[in-house]
Amino acid sequence: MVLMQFQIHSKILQMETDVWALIPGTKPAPRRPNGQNQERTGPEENQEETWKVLWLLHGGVGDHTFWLRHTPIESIAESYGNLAVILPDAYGSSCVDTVSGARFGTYLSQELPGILRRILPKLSDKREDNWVSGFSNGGYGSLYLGFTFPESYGAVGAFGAGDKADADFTNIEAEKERLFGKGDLHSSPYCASQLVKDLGKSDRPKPILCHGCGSEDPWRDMNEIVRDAILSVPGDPYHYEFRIWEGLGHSSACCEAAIRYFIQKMMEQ
Amino acid sequence: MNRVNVQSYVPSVHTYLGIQLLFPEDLEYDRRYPLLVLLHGRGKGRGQWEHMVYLEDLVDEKKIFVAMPQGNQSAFVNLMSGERWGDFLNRELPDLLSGWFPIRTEREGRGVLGVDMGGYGALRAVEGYALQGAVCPVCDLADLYETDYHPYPKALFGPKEDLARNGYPVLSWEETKTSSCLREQMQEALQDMVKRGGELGWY
Repeated sequence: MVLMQFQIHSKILQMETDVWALIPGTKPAPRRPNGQNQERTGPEENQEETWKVLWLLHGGVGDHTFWLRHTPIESIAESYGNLAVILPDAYGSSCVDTVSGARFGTYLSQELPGILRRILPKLSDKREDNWVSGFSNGGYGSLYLGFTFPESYGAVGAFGAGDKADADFTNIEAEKERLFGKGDLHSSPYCASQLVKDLGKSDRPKPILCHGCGSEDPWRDMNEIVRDAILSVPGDPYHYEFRIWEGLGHSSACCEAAIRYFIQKMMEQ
Repeated sequence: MNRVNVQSYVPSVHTYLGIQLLFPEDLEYDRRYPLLVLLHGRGKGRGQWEHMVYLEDLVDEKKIFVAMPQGNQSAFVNLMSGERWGDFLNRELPDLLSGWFPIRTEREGRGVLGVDMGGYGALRAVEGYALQGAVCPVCDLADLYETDYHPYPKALFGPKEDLARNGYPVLSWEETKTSSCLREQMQEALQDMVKRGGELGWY
């Protein structure tokens, strides 16, 4: 694939932002055992008119480089031929429109797609071709984005993902206040469980929802709270799937397993 | 102005290359933009032009894409060792860029400007670009043979006595310097290229 490392000015955030993108492209042909190259794959490959788009979010301790450095995301995506992976930096924002005025949610779900679709015209603008996913804080972010801005995404893949409303902010109260404000978050716009329930009652579009974590994830209980909230929505409007990856924790290995599953599921739709 | 560094496998040179691009902030849907390719000199990299001249106003005011590819020590011409840097510059680079980005697909929408060794490749890039320009270009590759150029010029271009036969002619170029400072010369050449682009209807 082709790696593109963007620095893009965001008017909403009033700052330069880092975004990496993996897009379909030519790759070296494997060498024969005798050292000779096979015919090179040429630019005729991957001439799909549009690419499906995975918006892939990093975790709390991470940045736009996380997925590329810690998982084989490129080789996973490459095998499908017409999938682009966008890796934005969320700068510790949990991907939300924060109470302090940094509108990362709006930037990630509205402004950035609009900018990138003009830079890379092959990125599909169809809702069903755009999926948001992430692990840990990025998993929460994908829930927040997918259920706050459901018109932007056809699917959500939230992994290692609990709800900020259930999180323990001991020793990081200042960060909590900067991002989400004071007090109980269960009645705030940041409560993922409530977002899921509210969307279920509305006429707005409903994304496909895949969710899960490792069996050894220290925050497995928080994932299961969110699971239970989703399961309480009548009619299963999200075609919900919850998975537990046995033997895996809150780790890069679980990131890989989860994203491999999500991409395969969505590409085979 | 926005920027992107692209790392892509390029079949004509058998390796992954870096291409730095600058482009306007507010791109319009369904519009394709002119392309100016800037080629670096020997011993330098794709950042040379941006370090030496101010490009932001050009990109934002004139609404053009500027691409600065990595050229290693190739002079951006096809090499006797098999790497086809000339084909990359004239064919593959424009095709890749207009395939990814909203860049004009026709030759008339493209210009190339090179410094030093990059000037040699730029002046020869008639196939791919309607406009060619150079700053202090290497006009005779034979000049590289007695220097500390690495890889060895013979490995890249063949024996010195066979340069013309191997397809590396001596170029004629009239330098119209108004300054002895390379930075100022590069800025002047850029302004000249911008003017010529205007004459071609780029903006």
